[in-house]
Amino acid sequence: MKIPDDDERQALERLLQAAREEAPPPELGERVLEKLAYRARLERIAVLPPRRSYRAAAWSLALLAAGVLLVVLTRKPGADAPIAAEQAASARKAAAAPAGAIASVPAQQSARLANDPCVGRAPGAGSQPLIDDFEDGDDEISPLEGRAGFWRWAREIDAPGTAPALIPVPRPDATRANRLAQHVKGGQLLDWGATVEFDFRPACYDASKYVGVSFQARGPGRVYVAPRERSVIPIAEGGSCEADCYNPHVAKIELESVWRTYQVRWSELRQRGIGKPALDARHLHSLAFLIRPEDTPYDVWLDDLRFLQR
Amino acid sequence: MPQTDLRLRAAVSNHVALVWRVLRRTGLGPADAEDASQDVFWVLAQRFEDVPERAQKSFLVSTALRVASDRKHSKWHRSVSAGLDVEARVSDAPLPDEALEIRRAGALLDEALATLEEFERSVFVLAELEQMTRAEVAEVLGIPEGTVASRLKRARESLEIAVRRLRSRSRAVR
Repeated sequence: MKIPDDDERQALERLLQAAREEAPPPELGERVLEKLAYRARLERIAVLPPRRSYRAAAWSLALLAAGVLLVVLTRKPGADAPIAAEQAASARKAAAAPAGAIASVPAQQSARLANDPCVGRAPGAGSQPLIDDFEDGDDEISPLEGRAGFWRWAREIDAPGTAPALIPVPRPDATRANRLAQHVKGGQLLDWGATVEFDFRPACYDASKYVGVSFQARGPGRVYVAPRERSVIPIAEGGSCEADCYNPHVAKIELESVWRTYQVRWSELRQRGIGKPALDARHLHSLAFLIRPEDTPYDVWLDDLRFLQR
Repeated sequence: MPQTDLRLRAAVSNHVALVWRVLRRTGLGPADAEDASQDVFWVLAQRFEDVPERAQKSFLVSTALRVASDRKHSKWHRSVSAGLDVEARVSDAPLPDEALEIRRAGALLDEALATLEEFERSVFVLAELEQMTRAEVAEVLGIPEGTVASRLKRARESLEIAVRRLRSRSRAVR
């Protein structure tokens, strides 16, 4: 092995010294603490006892499932079958199958129903349209008509599930009545882009009493407004999608370098593909503002997000 | 603010720079290292009452090594991050100012560190860069002190060779 000379050793020592003195990004500690608080809030929400209406619905479902199980297990092939062909066939299958398999189908269905956050969820009344004007300075949406959720900002370099909380910042043109807004800014992205979004909690919100959303925004640039149905979100992420996921209804918004108010009606949203159905606003999982890689670098302000009333 | 929150805040304040440097020097890019820092402190927050204050540093360093290793080996990291921290790679292009010279030096060290085996790299980062004692390194990595010493010696030799080679390559293209 060649022994490095003094010059090489000094060069290495300089490199090591520079590495020892390397400082983390400014305010990293504060951002870490914000993130910890955000995660802690999510954990608390996850373990909150269900509201009385959910609890009643869950009991009803459990009783229903028990009834269905009892009927299936006690039914004899050929006995008193009003829908003769289908029930006879299913009875034959049941007779050939082990007892556990007989019970599994209704049990799975009832489990799915029990886990469905849309069950027992009352629709938004349609009279309190404000989603968030950010003036409270936190990362939670306004708790009106039972809505709950936390803003976050994710970009393709985030690890799954670690998107940081998004806290409002002062508007450049702040007034006494309108001080804060959401602001995201970033460089070139290459894969799927970035998103500013929140999930409704529980992960189902019925916004059918409204006809769309409105918001103020400032660019320049382009965003895609995407109220996401549960049906486009994978089951593992709280949705109900089993195939062709991540294909939300979107509307493209060309932003200007001054604040403008934009309105997007549910009927204006489109999914990728031909012959796709219109948005079903009864089962919203989340609301996102998407930034695609071709629209990066990006510098987007958002404010005064509301549902559109009829 | 609850007492635990204050203690957690103090832990973040005291150790965030250490955690970030360990994550960076064990191979994560700046953006990755920031996100991973959050993961590391989240792990501490979950086990806060189980980790005595005197053991926080060791706990955080060992968690940082594990988080960095998980990230580097995940499909997500390979497919997405690899192409993004372009500026962190050693560039042969002319440099306009001193700031970039410093950045290039950091990138050169990272490239040299990347040539080490992971078990040598961890020892080197903790002992040489973070200047932890052999006993501390041994505790964090769960290996005997003698093994720390031998790995450190091998790591230093390998690193000197790597730096020498990278510097001569850099000089050759100027």
